[in-house]
Amino acid sequence: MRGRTLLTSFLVAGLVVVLVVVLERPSTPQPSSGQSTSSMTLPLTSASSSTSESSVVLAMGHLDDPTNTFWELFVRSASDSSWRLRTPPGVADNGGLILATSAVGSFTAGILPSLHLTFSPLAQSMSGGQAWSPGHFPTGLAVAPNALASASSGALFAVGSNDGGSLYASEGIASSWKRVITSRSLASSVKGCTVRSITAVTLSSSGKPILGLSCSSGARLGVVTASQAPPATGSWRTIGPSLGGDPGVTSVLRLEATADGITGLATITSKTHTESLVAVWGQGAAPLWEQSQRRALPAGWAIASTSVGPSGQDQQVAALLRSGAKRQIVEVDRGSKAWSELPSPPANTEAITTLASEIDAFVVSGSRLSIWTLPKGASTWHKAEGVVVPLQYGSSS
Amino acid sequence: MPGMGSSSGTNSSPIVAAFHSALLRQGALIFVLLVVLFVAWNVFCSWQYRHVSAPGTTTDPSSTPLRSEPQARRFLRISFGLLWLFDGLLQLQSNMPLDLPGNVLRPSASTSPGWVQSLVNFAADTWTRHPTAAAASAVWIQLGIGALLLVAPRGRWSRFAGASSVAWGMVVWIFGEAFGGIFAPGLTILFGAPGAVLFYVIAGVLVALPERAWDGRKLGEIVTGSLGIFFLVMAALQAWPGRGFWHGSVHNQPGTLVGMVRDMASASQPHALSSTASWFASLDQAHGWIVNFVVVVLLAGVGLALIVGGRFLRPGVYVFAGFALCVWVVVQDLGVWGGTGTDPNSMVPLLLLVIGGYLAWRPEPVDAETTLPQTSFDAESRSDGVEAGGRWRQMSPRYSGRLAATIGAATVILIGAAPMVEASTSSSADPLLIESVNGPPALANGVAPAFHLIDQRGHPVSLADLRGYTVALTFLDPVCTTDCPVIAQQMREANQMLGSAGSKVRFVSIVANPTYNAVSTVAAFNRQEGLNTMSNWLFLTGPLPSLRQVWRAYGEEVQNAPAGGMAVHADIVYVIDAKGVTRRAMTADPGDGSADHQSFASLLAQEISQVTSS
Repeated sequence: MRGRTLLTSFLVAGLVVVLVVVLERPSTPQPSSGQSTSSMTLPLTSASSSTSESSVVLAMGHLDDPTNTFWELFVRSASDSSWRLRTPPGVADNGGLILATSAVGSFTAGILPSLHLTFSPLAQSMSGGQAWSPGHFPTGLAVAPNALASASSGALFAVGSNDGGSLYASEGIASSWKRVITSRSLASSVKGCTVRSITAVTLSSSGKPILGLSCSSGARLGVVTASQAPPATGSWRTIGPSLGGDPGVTSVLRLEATADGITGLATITSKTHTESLVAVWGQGAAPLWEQSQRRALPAGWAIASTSVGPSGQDQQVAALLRSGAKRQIVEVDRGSKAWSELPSPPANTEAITTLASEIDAFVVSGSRLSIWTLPKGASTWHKAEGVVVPLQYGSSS
Repeated sequence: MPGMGSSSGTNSSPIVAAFHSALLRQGALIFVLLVVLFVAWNVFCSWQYRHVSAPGTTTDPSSTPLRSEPQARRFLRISFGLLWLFDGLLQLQSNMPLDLPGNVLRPSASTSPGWVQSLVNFAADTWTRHPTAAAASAVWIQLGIGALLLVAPRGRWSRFAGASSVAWGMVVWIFGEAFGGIFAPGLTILFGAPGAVLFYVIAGVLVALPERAWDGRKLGEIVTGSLGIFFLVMAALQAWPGRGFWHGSVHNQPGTLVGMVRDMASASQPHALSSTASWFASLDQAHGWIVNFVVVVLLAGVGLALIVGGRFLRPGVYVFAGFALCVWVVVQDLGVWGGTGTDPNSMVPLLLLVIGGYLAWRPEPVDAETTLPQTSFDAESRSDGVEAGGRWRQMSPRYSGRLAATIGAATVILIGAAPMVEASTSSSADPLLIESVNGPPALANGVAPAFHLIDQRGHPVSLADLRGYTVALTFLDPVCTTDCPVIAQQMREANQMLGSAGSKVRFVSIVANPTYNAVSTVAAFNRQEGLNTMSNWLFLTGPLPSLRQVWRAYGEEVQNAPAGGMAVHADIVYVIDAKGVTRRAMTADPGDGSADHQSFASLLAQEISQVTSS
């Protein structure tokens, strides 16, 4: 009898322990809606300058609320001292806006999908953004500032967000689009770079597409070009500069055709997860490349905005870095190839643009935009102008 | 846990009115049924009286000694019957149709694993799509189970009452209480773990057992022993380091229990209750270790007493009664306050279960043996072999009255369950939902303005071409990011709801964008929304002047918004009959969430059907 009591006691104690352990280790709660964190996105906030005009694309509104974040295009011609709002009308651009400029001065804007919209409306302007013609890209554009390129002939090239980035071509804004190549196909044909995705597109002076890539490894920066102009693009070959061994993961952030050739900006993430910036300038059909020194990003800092400056020997590439509320601008020019840090920009600077004689910082506070200027060689910023943008809060929610 | 939510105060009067209307409708049906049963019972009694009074007829007064219903079973049956009735009455609250999914169901699963959330979301979605039917069903099912438990003391019907309690209790425990939170972190008996309704289920199981299971004290030992193990587990969880119950505050932040009680105290309730809860929160914040120590010792002590039994059992029950009442008042806030209270929380049913277990363990009093006539309700259940005509003749009025009441209560459950079953199998939603957002469709009776445009294939289409068809006409922006794709999908869904009647309908949209109105953009929208395969879908566009003319004729103000904003236009659907006369003008704002969207589709299909058949 006593043995039975003992056995019962042990069974009860065992049961209690099992139940406690089971109940104490609940399954991890699942988030109600998951978001993929694996896809690489590049900062869309960007600026480009040529000798005739400059443009900047930036986000305004409630930047922590995607449905009340509006992407705006500002343009400033060389003959004008003010920036003008030139955002294409007729479509909600909460998902993002990218801009391609052509050698003949046309603008082509691409709207990134958001909410229920899954393809990308396009708009083209031959008047510096004052009047726009509509079009559309059949899938979503890649989230990259140079995912769209425009030829002098009116032909367009775009990087779609599907399949890790595919290149598409169209004869014009109102024409149909055809897929030229996928990143998977590129991966099997390109040497010197293990292709992850297509991140940028621009055009050579002869109209051949030049692609910027993200590479998981390789001794060369991921820049490739087609042997022929579309529609028969022929084979693809690597033309990116050598990086001196395999530095790690490389991604081309910017790739722009300029009067002097090609200007690019890339990130290199080393095997020890240190991220650095490198600017490249190429010239000629099989470009002879010049590279900047590498600029390591301090731990905890990220790239917020990039700018490619006007043509010339001093052509600049600049990046706005952000760490929480802190901002830092780093700049490199083709002449010195050495990165320098500029005086701290005003608080809430969201974008920068490098002009011939100055750098402009765009400070966003809701629908208010303040533009601050730092003349070349100066040490203090001064406010140049203020703009109130008529944002339509709540229109996309 | 149920009863711990806060009211959103978003009672929509059309929904509440429909809820009351559904209750009245079902109540009237039940009333008629009860009257019929009452009349039938009277007729039966009269027939039986005449039969018994007839010369040469003798009643069979023979009686068999039968033991009365076991005391513990009667206690559990009646007490849980009353609890179900109380819960059914709580379901009558006006905010139940709209607030239950958001205030009770989804919060109960918010910290549970994904698969639990999926189950609860299914129930919440079903309730949200059919709020009035579901809320009215819950009322009648619970009132019916309560009544059935009360009026059916013995036999198959009584066991059926227990089984009903188990079935509905499991539905509520799984879909309404997310398994009482047992798969979520922070499990504590103080806040209702493992779910109040689980105790209803256990009580239902006991009532549903064959009567021989109540012989002796074996069942009592199993119940008290199991409850003892449960209390020991709860004590161990309460004492487990790292779960936050030992600290009244951590880094000047309220501890786990303090935070829970403070939330409870902040709910809308009588001042006396909120101040009691606040007092306890302050006490726990100041002396968290002591409070938890007392709780752990009491739970462990009660658990051991219930397991060991014997002379420890009765003191254990008394101690737990005191503990349960204290927790019920100062921690669980009587369970029903604070918005969408659906039951008195766990301490009351748990205490009833403990007392029931104790009564089952305790020897029955000797004088419980009574002599009941063979024709009693109890005996009927054992008299399967009795000749049928004899049974009817020998039935006592008391028995036949109870039988009628039992049938009535069971029918209440069925009347309640039918709409719930229908709602859970239906993919559509109550049109009333979107009507409560947009208002009812406006009746119209004017000739629809003509138009001459081109469709997504580039073919010309005019309104005159659509004569003979009912036309659902709207205006959509092909590059819209918000409402337009949803409206298009709901038109497609309405078409599916119409079935073969859809062949007599044309769903027509006219572009509402001054910039993006090319045929290729319209075609891109159709591809995006999968409308290419919908044979009766037309997305019309044309030169901007033609579009502006049509917009003006239909009162659509379409314009571009500046600075990256979407083009502005009104969401409206016109239902035009086969003769070209506008019969309905419906606001087409699709509302928030899938339930509203489906409701819009249901309403549109309903209105199209009415116009087509008129």
